[in-house]
Amino acid sequence: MKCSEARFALAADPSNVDSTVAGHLEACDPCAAYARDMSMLDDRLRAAMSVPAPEIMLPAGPQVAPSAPPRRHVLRQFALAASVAGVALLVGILWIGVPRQSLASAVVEHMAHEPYAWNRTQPMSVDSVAPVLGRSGVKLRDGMPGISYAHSCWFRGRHVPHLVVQTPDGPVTIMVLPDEEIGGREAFAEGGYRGMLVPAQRGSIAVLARDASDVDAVAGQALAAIAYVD
Amino acid sequence: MDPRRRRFERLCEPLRADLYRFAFWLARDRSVAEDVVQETLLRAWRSLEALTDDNSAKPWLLTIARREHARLHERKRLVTVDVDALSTAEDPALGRSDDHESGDVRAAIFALPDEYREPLVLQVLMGYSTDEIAAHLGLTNGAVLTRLCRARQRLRTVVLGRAEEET
Repeated sequence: MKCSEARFALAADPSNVDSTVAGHLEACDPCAAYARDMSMLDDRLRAAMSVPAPEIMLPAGPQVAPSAPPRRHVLRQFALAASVAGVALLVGILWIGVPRQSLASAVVEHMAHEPYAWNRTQPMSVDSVAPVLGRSGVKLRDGMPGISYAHSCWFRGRHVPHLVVQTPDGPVTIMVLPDEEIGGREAFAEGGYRGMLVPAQRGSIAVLARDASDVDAVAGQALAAIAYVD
Repeated sequence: MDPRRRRFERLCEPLRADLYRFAFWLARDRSVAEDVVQETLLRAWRSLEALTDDNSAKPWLLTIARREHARLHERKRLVTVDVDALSTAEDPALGRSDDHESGDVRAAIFALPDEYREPLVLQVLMGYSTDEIAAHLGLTNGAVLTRLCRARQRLRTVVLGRAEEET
């Protein structure tokens, strides 16, 4: 493979590097540097593109079906819905013990910065996942099925692997946190996510879902699949 | 709550933020983006029965948003904006004025031609594959790859300060 071909592939889709490109990168330092550039660039693009979204409420209901209501009417209904949602959020926040879940909160907050991570559904090759894990001294023992997203994310002062795996019940996020020691398993529900923090051979692993996915099972799979490199 | 309403909320609620961000990067204007999202949701509500596969809710909504943006653009004859003025005007309103790095990157994205910016947003932010982008934009996969490549080459030069390359 020529350098120009590898660079074209990297610039067109840096998250989906096939084995041919990965092989070229192992042998070509300038292209490997180019790949790192593209990865860094995408990190910054994602952060910049994830602009805060205002509360834009859904249309009020059947009464708007025949014709569009006056905009003020829609906005009033939207404002009411926003107030209800705000109160519900406040109650939720008060209900959850904040100090105990500071790591959980940080993980949930990180999710807000990478909403696109949930959207990827195409399975990734082992070759394209390995560099992401390797950056944090982690590898997969025998692979892990269904990985659709893998990215090395800046989290609490370190780069950590952020994976999304597809399960029958929906996507589940795994964050491998080798430097985050915890006392024991912790379940949490925060910001619309259900999750689990589990102690690992090094540090911990966080597993999150937005739906009814079995986070326990995925946590077990992750613990079995992930190995730590010296 | 009636089943139709419940279905609508279940499908659209999780996608509102994505929908707004997509509209924002199409329009490069917050108020236009909000209008696009409101019109998109109203149109989606009215034509909910046209969505036969719930798993396709996201591309369905983004397609409506794209059309609504084009319609709004045509109706209001939106003026071409000065991207330098735009980025400085938008940033404080985005609540990230202290984040100079993101502001610079946003300005670089704003400055991309539409035909480069839209596929890039679909890929980076919406998680679309290149095949999905090609279907969404009515382009060949090769054309999408070329646009994405050129978009990132420009941004690499501007954002990372690397020498420009030709592909």
